[in-house]
Amino acid sequence: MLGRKISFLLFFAVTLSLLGVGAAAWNKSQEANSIPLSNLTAEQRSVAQYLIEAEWQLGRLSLEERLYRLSEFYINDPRFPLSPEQKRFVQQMLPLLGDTVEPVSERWGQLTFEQAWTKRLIEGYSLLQRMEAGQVNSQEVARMRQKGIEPIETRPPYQSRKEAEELFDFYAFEKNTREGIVCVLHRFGDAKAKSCLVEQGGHWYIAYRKVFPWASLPPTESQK
Amino acid sequence: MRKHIVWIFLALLLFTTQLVTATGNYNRTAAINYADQYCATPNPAYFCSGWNDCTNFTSQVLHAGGLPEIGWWQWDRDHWFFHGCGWFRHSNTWSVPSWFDDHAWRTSSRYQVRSISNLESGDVILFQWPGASDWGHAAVYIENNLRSQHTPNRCRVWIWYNVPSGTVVRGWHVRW
Repeated sequence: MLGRKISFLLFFAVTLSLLGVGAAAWNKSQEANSIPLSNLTAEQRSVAQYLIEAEWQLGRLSLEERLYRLSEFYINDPRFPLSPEQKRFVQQMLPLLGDTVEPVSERWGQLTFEQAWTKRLIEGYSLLQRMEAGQVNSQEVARMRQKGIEPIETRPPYQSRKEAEELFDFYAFEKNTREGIVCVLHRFGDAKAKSCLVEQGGHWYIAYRKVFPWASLPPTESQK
Repeated sequence: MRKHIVWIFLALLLFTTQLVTATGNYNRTAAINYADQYCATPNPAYFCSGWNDCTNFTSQVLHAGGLPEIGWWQWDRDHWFFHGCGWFRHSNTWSVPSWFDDHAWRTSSRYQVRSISNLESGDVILFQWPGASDWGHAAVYIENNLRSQHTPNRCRVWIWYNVPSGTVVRGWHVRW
């Protein structure tokens, strides 16, 4: 009986240690660090540069200017439909967006989402300013919050391209040659993101982006 | 009977007075000293996970500034406490940014929404990454437009360092 117990404990210990070794090895492989730009293929480099350029070009603008230039960098691609949650968000912002956005919800994609997001920032900042000036009371703020407008703000526009460059490290590229899609896993400041780009008329567009908190993805060398 | 009513009334009065007067002076210097001490290396007494420590760190700073813990129940937005790392030993409001935000809305005696330019040292900044459905990060504001944080650990960096455009930000001023 004692022998069986010992064997079970041994088995348990060996299994645990193997799991530990496996996890460590997996983490190590994920720590593959960022890929230096010089190690990227020409196409990967052009995608990476494009992501940085889009961030810089849009991020240096005021929110109002950005709203009207989003279509130069983002696209609604039916292969990347919005999630139900994103659709609900756009729907909520729709009364504020006027004719800025695509009216048919089936055609909504990343571009429409970005437009709604930017509008939310504009309205949220306006609410914050009115709150601080004492122009709205707490009931009014509560009403606005129910409509999806919260007192918020965002960072000021970039002053230099370097600020945008510093946000990025590139971890992995995945290309679907048949469909002309490239997906990139990259650092996005103190967060991480997966961005998918499509090429149209010799021009890249961001058709999908999902941003994750820092801790959601395996650690990388820069995190240690 | 009348005696009972008087006692109940007195007890209620005492309780209400306690609630109303349960305010103090938030010691911003103590809060920032704590942030400086533990921004790079976590305080072992509070270290639960290196993976999701931003709001835990922010709460520690608030507590170091003298903000007392509230309650004991993990799963609501009114309580805010840390008794340890295990299950039910700290509130979600202590360690999850979206829960902290809800908590701050509900405890207006302690917190007030303010623009970043009007924050004071030891206040809280929440970040919602572009396109994210909820608050994903928290940090401590430090005078002269600096911030300190965990996950990743950063000490006194420029407040907008590594913050992408389109990030939603909310400042919570501690007015306790």
